Amino acid sequence: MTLANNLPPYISKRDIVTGNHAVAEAAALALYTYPSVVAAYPITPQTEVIEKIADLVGEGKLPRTEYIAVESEHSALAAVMGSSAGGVRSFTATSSHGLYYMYELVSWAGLGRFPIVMPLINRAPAPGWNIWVEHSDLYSIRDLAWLSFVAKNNQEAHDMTLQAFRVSEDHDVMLPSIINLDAFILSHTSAPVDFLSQSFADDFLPEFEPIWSLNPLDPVSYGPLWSPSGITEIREDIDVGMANAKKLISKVISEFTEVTGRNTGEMVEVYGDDHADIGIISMGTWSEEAELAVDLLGEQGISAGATRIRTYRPFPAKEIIDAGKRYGRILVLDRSSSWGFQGQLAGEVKASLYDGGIDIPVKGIVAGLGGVDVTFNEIADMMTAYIKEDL
Amino acid sequence: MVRLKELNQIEKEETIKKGNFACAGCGLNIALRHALAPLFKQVSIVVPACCTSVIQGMGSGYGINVPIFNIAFAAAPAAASGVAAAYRARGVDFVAAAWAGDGGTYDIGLASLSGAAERDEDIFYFCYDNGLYSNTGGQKSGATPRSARTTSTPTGRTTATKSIARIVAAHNVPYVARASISYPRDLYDKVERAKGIKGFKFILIDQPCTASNVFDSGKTIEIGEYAVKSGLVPLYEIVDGVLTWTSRTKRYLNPEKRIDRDGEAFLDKYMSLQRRFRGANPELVELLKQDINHEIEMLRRLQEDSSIQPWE
Repeated sequence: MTLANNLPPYISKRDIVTGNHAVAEAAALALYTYPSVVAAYPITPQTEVIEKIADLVGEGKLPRTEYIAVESEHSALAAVMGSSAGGVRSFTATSSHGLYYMYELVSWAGLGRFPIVMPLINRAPAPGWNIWVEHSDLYSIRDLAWLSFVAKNNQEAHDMTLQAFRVSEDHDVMLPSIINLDAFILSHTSAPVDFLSQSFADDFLPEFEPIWSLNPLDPVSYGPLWSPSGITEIREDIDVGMANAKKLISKVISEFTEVTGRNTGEMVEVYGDDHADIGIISMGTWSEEAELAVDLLGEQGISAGATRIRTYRPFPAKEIIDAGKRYGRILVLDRSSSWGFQGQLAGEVKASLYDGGIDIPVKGIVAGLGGVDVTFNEIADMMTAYIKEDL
Repeated sequence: MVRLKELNQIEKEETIKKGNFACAGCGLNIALRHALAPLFKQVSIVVPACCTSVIQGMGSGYGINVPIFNIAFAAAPAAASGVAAAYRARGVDFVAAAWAGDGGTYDIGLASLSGAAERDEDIFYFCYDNGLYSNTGGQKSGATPRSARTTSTPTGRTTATKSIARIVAAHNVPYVARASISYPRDLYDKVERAKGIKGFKFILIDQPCTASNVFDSGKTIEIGEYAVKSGLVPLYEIVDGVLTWTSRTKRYLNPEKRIDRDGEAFLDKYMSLQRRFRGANPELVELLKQDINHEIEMLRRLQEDSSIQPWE
């Protein structure tokens, strides 16, 4: 259903679609103009992403894309690593157990610097079987040299996908990306999306130029045995790539905003009072609930703010320190836990504040596991209780 | 068949260089040299964890004249599919191949191999088969012959070897072949013929391992020859589902002909040269002999005329 005519040139259509659909259409923009490869395996709640792309390939709408329907996620990631090594733009998508099944290659893709883009629909791991949202898969990829972006709504998921290709494939970065979408809340819920146009995408995202590719006329071995000291050097360069990504994200977002007028933050998105008694830090869809909670507290005369992490890797340590300077105390929401320690994000927020010499109260809450709905009312209650030292 | 002179000329530009990390007498070097010669300057190979990951050299030192994409143990067929897809998308005329050992093929890589075969990917799959996990110190793989002792079957393998070639053939792929490093001209010819075939091409190469199967490093070729002459490694091609035996080895498919001029069984010669069969359980050796005949019998059913004996 098209809602409006007379759209600006950077928009091709305005429609009401699921998060999965929004991501797939954005990937299609990146895949359309130049040679590209998609390899994928179904898993709920990701399947719609790869089905949509399969449809587009089947209908001849992605004439330069090779689509490989592999027999497992392990093979999905291996195949797109192969195609990336073969010199073309490469895409796959997965979720939870799919990610865990491909895990061996997740490290290979990150540490090997393959600029693959992969939506990760965040879903709880079994047992018991649960297909609803949790962030444990998001964190499981944390230390394997992938860029990690977290969407708050379908529009942002769409925009982020195209931005991720741009950042990943930059020669100063050359790292793979995951785009995190909360299972069902985004993946299967329809909401209005302004689809970017192909002409915008082509201006925004140049052809992928590999630094190296497998060339029988210039035989070189990639990823052979390496010495301990050599490995250290290679690993150090990953952090250089991560630091470069941080700078590039800022540039990419401002270019994006210049044309579209859309800006949902670079590393983080800040909402609410500049200086507040309490600030809430979170990622994903419930960050929009947190914004409503901030409004609700405001109505009750409590000054509150929200900082949403949009780029999780590289981690926005500086932006968290800035948040520490703005807020009297911080509540961190985690949709998963590092069992035996605490919520992962809470730990990282505290570490960043310590590095920044900020000494304020910080509390982490683990909630919303296995798809439990957490509304703005509940978040407001948590914030109020924390202010009253009652949490 | 390619003439020896021709082969020497073709292989002057070497796919594999002298002085790499391979053991003295390594059969893998020989397999690489002859199998990749017909594809030289056209092929990129994907190598999972195996001896080829090691012998290619360390860091920027490099002993193989073919581009290599090193990848995880179970991932080679999928990664080769991806490389082939990239070449197709780019419209370049290069060939992608997986180059894996028997562990990476029969065992951990089987699902990925099956997927690539079922999709009829236009790639080569080479399995260099030494019948065990040699790179990790000599453990049993699906390819280990019955009765052979390995570090994980110290009293000898008790069950039959998996027939990987028939498993792949059951995927209805256009080309399956078995070759041996002891018959390099035949190996070369098979790759050369397969080059003209579109779709999935599987070539199983017998390659005795001096280090783990423990034999004199000067005996690699001889042991490979006995493997063929004992019937343990029958040589054939299965093109579009129809099996043709390789003529030079045909007579040895007949159990009565598997003896040398002095009446000594080639299987005994094969086994006596390798420490892995020393003190092998005679009952298991008897079963191994049955395994040999069973495999040839099962392959016979893939002949165009399955009513005739393979040696007829």
